[in-house]
Amino acid sequence: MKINRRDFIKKSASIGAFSVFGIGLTSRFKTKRASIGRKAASIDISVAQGEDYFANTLKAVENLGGMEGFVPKGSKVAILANPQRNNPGAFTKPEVLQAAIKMCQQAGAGNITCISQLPDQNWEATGLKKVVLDEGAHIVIIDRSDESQFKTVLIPNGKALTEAQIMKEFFNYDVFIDMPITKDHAGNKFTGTMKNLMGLSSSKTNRSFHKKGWQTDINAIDHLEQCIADLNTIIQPDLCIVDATEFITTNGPFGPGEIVTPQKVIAGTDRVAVDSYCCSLWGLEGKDILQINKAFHHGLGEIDLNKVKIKEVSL
Amino acid sequence: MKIRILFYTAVLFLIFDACFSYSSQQKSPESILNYLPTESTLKKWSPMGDPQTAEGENLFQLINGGAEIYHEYGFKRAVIHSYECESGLSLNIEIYEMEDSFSAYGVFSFKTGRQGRKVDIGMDAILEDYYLNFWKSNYVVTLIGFDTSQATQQALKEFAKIIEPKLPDGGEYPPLIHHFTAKETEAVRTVYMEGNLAIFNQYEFHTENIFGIKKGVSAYFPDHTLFILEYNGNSEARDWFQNAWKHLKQSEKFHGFEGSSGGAVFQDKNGNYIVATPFQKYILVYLGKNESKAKDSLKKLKISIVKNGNSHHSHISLWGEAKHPVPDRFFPASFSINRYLNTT
Repeated sequence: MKINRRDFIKKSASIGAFSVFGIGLTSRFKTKRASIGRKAASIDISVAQGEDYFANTLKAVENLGGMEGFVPKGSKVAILANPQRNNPGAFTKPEVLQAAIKMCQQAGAGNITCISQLPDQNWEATGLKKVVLDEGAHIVIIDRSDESQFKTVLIPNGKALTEAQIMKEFFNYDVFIDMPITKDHAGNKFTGTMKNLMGLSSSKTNRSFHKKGWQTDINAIDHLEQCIADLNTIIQPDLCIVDATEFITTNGPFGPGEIVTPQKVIAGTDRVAVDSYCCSLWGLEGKDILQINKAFHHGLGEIDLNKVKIKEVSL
Repeated sequence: MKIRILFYTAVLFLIFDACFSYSSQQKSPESILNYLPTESTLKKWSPMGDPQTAEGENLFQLINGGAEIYHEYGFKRAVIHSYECESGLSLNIEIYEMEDSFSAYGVFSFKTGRQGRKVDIGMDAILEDYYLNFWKSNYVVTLIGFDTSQATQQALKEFAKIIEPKLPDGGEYPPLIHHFTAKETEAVRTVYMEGNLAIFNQYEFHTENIFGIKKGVSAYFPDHTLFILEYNGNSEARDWFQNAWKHLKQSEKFHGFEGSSGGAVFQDKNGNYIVATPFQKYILVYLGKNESKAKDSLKKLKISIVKNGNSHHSHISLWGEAKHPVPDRFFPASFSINRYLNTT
């Protein structure tokens, strides 16, 4: 269904988002995605498993209907990968990112850019910079200490987070692909598609996730999780591609820690379902992870994996 | 004459003070970079890029959300640097300066995996398949390789041995750990905790700090886990126990509650029994699938507390709660905590 501008304004106003964003980002995302005419998805979560992580990524997206369903010809694509640190199991694998870029190119993307706040050193050390440049894509690194690089966005439905500073660069793209590595996080046990969005918000905003009022808060776990869910109410990735090939299950998010190797790449658009699936890879359940549970209660997706269609293939 | 004596005394004092200050600086270098290996000691290895450092709150800039657990223990400063070898190997070094040796040991115990083997470096060192952690004084050092080869493991040990002598001497274990080092009560692994994040990562009782934890240990045994949480006094322990009990009873994660504010038994959805009780200035918790083990495990821990406790506690009965029951309001008639805590 195509959403026209008037419908969009009505919908935006009804959730209070219009006054926050202006029309740009939200309308662009909603209208473009609707207008691409992606085939009605027969599956919600696509999983490809095997030793070749590049091939897994291609297959996971292909089984979801193909990148063409998400990336219109000539569009500007923003990718948010995680180059946190080159410690094993702590960063999005270069092969996974490379495959995603290739698919975007094949779909006819006009520009593909990895946006980040982490320094060039991280991109270099993780091997991610090489694949981005090899594929002719770009990396834009925002200086997170420069607050002028961010703009304040209100979060109308936020329960703990009422506003966030989001990098201005993010608003220059037509399509947003969220590409985290799923892994442990000492602060809340889990990181996946939803927590990865903290890569778009400023240090000031993110620190407020971890600390209330800039003071150490020993009860902050619930607060952090609510903030993550709240942030996700204003940003909807067009596609999530999760690296679950090899990742740390202890001492996250930085590592080093114990590593499991499911050798899986997961693709989907329902963040709650995708994260529920990811946490199940190391014995957790979505309903036990607060951020997933809170996002479910925000209506962002389905938490019960029995209620979503999952297609898994082994290569 | 008096003025001359005063003058010479002042000069001597200044000379002594200057020498003393110099000595202190030698022992405690101003820059944490001084603890990194120097190129002259590296042979075939060379540093990659510039080291990254962080102090206090800025650890967030360096390791993002990973910083919170360091802050919980008490973080001062850190340096991270990468090195590469002519052979193609590379590794990362992370040096964290913590507030004191308890917090350094705490972070070390938190980060140490279950599968590692001990190595003789610093106060304790554990080599995992691709990384090595050790601690000394108020420093925790983590060395990370990128494969599990013997060459990588050897390199991790060699780098650790270069860094270790540069760090200040000493290091003191938190006293609570000693309850799990004696032969009778020796744990496979212990984690010293100084806050809610630490215990949350051991077992998810609750996301809020319902135990008001400031100091504690989780001790792992082959088939169960024991927790000991320490407070300033008996009444504080009992108050926090009541608070925890109130919250736990409202949690959907647990069921089969028996007991009340003086002691509790309940189960989690994985079939674990949780037996918890305040004892002197502590809260003790057993977690395991074998209900009958709780009694013996808690008994041993209580014996250890009484043996290692302060002399003014020595007159307290090992079975304090049983012989000096808490008021009835804490123990309804049906309550059966004593089956876990009594010797009879």
